[in-house]
Amino acid sequence: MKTSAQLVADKLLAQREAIVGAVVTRMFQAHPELELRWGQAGREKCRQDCGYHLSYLAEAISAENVALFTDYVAWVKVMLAQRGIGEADLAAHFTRLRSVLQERLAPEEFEVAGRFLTAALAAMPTMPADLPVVIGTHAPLSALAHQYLSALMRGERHLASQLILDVVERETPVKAIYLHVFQPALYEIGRLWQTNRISVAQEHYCTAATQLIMSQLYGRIFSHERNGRTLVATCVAGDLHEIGARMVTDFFEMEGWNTFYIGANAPTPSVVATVLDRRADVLAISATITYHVPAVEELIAAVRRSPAGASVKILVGGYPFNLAPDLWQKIGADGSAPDAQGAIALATSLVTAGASPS
Amino acid sequence: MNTALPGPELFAAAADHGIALLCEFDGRVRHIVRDELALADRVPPGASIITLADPGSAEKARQFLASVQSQHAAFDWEITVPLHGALVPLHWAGGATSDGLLIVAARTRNGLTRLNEELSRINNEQTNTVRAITKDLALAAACAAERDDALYDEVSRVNNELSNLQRELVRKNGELERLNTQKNQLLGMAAHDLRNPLGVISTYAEFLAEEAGDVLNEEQREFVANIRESSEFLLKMINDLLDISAIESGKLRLDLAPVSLAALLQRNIALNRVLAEKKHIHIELRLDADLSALLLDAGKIQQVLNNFLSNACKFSHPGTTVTVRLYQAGDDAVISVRDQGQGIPAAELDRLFTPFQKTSVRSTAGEQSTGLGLAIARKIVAGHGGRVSVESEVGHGSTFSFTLPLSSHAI
Repeated sequence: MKTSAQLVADKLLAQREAIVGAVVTRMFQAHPELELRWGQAGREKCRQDCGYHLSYLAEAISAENVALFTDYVAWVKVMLAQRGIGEADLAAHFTRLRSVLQERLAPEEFEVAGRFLTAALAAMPTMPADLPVVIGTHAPLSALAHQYLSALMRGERHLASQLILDVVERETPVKAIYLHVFQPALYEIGRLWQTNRISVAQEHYCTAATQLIMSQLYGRIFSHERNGRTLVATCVAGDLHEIGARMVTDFFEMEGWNTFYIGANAPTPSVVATVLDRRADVLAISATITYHVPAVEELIAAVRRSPAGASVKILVGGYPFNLAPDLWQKIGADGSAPDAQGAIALATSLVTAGASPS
Repeated sequence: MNTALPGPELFAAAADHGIALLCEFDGRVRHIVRDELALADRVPPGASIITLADPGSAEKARQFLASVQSQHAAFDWEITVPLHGALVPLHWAGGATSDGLLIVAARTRNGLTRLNEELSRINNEQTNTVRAITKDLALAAACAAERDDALYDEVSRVNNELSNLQRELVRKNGELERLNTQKNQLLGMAAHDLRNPLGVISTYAEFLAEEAGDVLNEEQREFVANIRESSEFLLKMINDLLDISAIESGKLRLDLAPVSLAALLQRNIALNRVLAEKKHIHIELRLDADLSALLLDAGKIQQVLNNFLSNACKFSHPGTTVTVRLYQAGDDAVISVRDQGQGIPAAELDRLFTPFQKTSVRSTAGEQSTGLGLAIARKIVAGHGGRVSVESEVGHGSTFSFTLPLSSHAI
């Protein structure tokens, strides 16, 4: 049985094309100079962006969580500010979206959707226009993290790799490298892209190089004593941001779990089959994009319907679940944790409780 | 003094410098409109625009020119140009006007767009054409950027998949290494525990045959003989298993000492001759090289020889000859054992040296084999830095050889 909020979200997605079309048409009517300046390509880009806004809005409404939407708007504000599009333009855009929704939705439906837009518009002036540097100067291994990142920014992946292998050789635990070098470096790369300081190409290069360097440490990760527990981990289809989920899986491996990471392009039946074949104790599903949450929900439902459903515990994780702490319950998971250590503790307690019901 | 060193923004601007030229329809330069790259000397009026390109890219430049001529516009072709002593890929664009071609090239796609925008602000006879091209360029640039973004995403997906695959491979490899170690330990342990009781069975069967031979009847003596033969074969198999598991777990220990190969062969063949004669097979030795002593594990090399010779006898018919040769080939000493036996089908030769692989060829007097001898021989020879090889022809016989590097000369 769907909630009234979910019905509103469904309606937004069903009318997506029409809503986006109306918003963009009005925008170009109000500002004819845009047509001259950007032409057809600009109009297409606008449609795409507006489509994203609507997807995030629908998912936040469906989860009844305002933070999911305001946080996204804060991200958009930083991203556009560094590309020369100011807060006023963004506010005008969301105001236009709100009036289109007011015309298209029933009053009680608009009351729900409008509340999210109003909240985002109200919070917009206090949202930062730039983001602070991620790698602190006093954090452990911060000097290494800085060296590592600057090597990657110069395109010197061999040097970056050597930096890491050297400290691992000197007995720095792989976990520390993950937590204090790779993770902050990747967050910083995300921030640099969001604030238009690096190109898409640089961002992809840094991520790819980090994945390669991680794989050079696998020999150490897969030599731990086993504890007899099995984890299957996956990303929802289409999510490009796999590296975080793989890192969490590696942490499980380092804790003695037998882990199987099956990536983002495994179709649902093959995820279900892997859970069965490997007799997984825990299935971990990651999503980084808020509007991928429905795909997580569908995957959970499919696993629950399968013969594996009765015994396997399902954990979810990633950005949207960190923003909305009770979202996991709504989509039928057994729990969620904000980081790798939390996920391992939660998985262990779920498996232990499941093994000896008392 | 205030030096005129360029600031960072000037360097940044230089990064997207470009050149704009007006050309005849056939591509000969008429007039250089803008030259931020100092290339003017290379294309004097009348020279072909193609001469700007590196000779290796001339064909691509010709294709670009043909595209401008036939389509009236071309955008963002990467063509390499020699620039300040290096080969630099420039982004090229061009369009046809009513009286000629306008060609623009810049270090980056953004530079290309900027140069076009600047040109469109200059009031000259090409303004309208440049404006028209600029609009096309902006659209094409947006499409190209989007196409690039989509490709970056796709490359990321490929990279993700490769990373996942790599993770799985390393994981499986670790598992296999663990299993292999366990297998070797198990094999070693089982073989040890089997060998002792077997030795007892074999020895007592021997006692029985010798001490109670008179009391036993013909049939009973045959029983005892069967017990002895079978337990000895089992013992041989267990010894081979122990050898192979020791070798595979990296414990091939060679006891190296200076050895004369010729003397070793003579001794070994004298022993093997006795066994061969029983089957009326003659072993002939030909020493075709006079070699000084080599550093060898004499016991292990004898094991290889015993294996080659016992195989040669097993698969040969009575009345034939087995020829053992020692000779030099390049930097190696070669020992070959040639028989006049049944030969081995070509399809089976490849797996001869793999453990437990037996051929379809039957021994001539029902002798048994463990299927491990040649695998052990190969490992021993490899441990000495040599190679084993086989040539065979069905119906004519086989030649098994192994090499030993002469560089292992005893000093």
